[in-house]
Amino acid sequence: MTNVSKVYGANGHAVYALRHVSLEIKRGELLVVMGPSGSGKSTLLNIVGTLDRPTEGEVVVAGVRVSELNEDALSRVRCRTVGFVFQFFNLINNLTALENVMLPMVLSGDYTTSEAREKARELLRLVGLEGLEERRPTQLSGGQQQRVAIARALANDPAIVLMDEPTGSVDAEAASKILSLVRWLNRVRGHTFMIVTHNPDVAAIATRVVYIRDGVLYERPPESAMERVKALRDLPGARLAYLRMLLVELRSLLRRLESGAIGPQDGARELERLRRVARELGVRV
Amino acid sequence: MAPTRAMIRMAWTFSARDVRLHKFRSALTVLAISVGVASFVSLRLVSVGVHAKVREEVEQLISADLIVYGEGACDVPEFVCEFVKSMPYVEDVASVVIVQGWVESGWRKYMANIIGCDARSLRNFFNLSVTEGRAFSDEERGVALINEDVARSLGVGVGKSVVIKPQVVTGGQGSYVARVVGVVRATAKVGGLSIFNCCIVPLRDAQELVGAKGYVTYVLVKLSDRSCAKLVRREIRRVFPGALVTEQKEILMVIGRVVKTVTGMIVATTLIGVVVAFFAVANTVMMNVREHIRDIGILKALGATSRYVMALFVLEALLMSTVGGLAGLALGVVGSHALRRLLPRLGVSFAVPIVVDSGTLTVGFLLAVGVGALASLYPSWRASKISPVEALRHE
Repeated sequence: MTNVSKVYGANGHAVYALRHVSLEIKRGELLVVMGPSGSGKSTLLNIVGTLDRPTEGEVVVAGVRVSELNEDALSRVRCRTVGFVFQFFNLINNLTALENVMLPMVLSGDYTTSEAREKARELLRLVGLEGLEERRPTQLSGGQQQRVAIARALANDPAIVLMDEPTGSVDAEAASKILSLVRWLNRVRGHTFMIVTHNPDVAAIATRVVYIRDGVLYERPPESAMERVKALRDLPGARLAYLRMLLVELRSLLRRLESGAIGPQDGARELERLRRVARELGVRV
Repeated sequence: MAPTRAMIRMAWTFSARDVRLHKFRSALTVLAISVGVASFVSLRLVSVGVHAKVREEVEQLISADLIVYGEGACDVPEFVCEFVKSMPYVEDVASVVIVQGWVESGWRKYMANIIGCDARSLRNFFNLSVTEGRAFSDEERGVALINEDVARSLGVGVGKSVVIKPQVVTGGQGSYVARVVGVVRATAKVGGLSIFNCCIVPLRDAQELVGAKGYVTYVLVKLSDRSCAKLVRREIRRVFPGALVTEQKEILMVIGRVVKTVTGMIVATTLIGVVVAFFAVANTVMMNVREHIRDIGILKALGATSRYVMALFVLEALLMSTVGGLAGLALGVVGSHALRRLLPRLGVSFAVPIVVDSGTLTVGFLLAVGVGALASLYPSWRASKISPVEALRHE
């Protein structure tokens, strides 16, 4: 995706969910997008998955420029090139686990019912759910449901599997199993994944991690001190405490400069940092 | 992309399971459709029966080529009969009093046509088949012939007494007791005019009953040459300007038109039931769509087209309307027979034949399926237009 922005609302009430985001996901990559709630990571996932359209910019999925396609053409692209795994599993309760996995294959029109059934059985075996094919989603645990969702996402051998907080609704043991499975699918079977999460454990299995804050994508984590300052500003009493600490740091800096413990160049850089932090705390410098 | 068999099969699985999952709601929808279709089918079958019966009977108007009558119920002077008899081309003439009335025995009563005529007319104009007892003679008074339906309903036979009452008392004695001397076949033909559920009494008794001595309801005329019907009719009108004279052909046309209008209106009222069924289906599909908004998002995320999403809900409605339609046809046929039994108690004085015709059943079934498809179109279309992102956010 190139220079993609997504704006909600209009006429002075515009809220940027994504700001000029450019991102390329290579085949075989396991990309993890880390970010807190409301940072725009789900919007990013929906745009990559063609569920949502960008306000500006261009999205290319598996060589197809999707920005100009109509709804039905997008459905066809999604069906064959994108697999989805959601935080809340999103299985269809009317259908069994097997039928849920068969669904993308049936919708593609490339498989007969018996072919889809046979492949779905294999996929369920792959994710360790052999024997549970005829169970309804309500008869499965959260972890099992998420593994059915992973099997479903792999059904049409998509170019990319998109996961939105895949471990967000399961216990630690199930989360560990799911992450192991995803890593195995990526390393051994070569599937491409893009996972959005705020869970650092998920980042541990990534081949690449990017970060998102306020709709802006970073290759490295944004400066953590700044983040702390921003967070502290919202806590009652914390701002004052932080200002006092700032004064201590300033006194310490002056003392070290006077004593010659640090040079004028380093002192100026440190002073600039403190000035920036002070500005962030709302102090006119 | 054309839907594959696998897609259709999956859609069927989804829809059929949904119907099963919401048993009560689906059953109520099926019931609404079946009641709508049943009311249409039963009334249509009865209407077709009435139409067929009336047509059949009217077509047998062969012996009375002309019917002379007045503007009132019983206001044709008897001397008109004598005059018409003397006209050229006239072969035979009968004076008849016909009024609607009740025949009673104890606490039981039955609505029937009270027919008054003389013994000669009884022989020449009445196509009677006496199954029990005998016909009456000109000398007899206080006697009656009743048909089999009346005899069975009242539980009376030859030798028993019945009370005869006109439905509207306009004068005369109002009622009198007559002795049953004979029972006749279900339908009597009076001068070719079929009279169902009749009680035939001597002409003078009927005239006294309605207080119209010297007057009759109809003068029935048989011609020696039917091609002269118009000539004879003109001559009667010239001599008796107040008399109304009708030819057989006109009666056929008028009766046919009236029956068609009445039955058409009756069948049209059943469309109210069909409209109710329409809203029931639309409501059910709307509820289904609301419950499946998240599923719609999932399906779209997995690559389902808008048409496929729409088809899922239309299919579900079609499934319910097909079951409702079939149940409605069965209920309708049973209902038409129940209605047939009920009609005599509501004053209809003939037995309606019920012929289950394929046309009515086909229309009834197509009505059910059509209602299901049409009612589901709008909510299903709305469902197909839901954005996948919004649908997936739906709780």
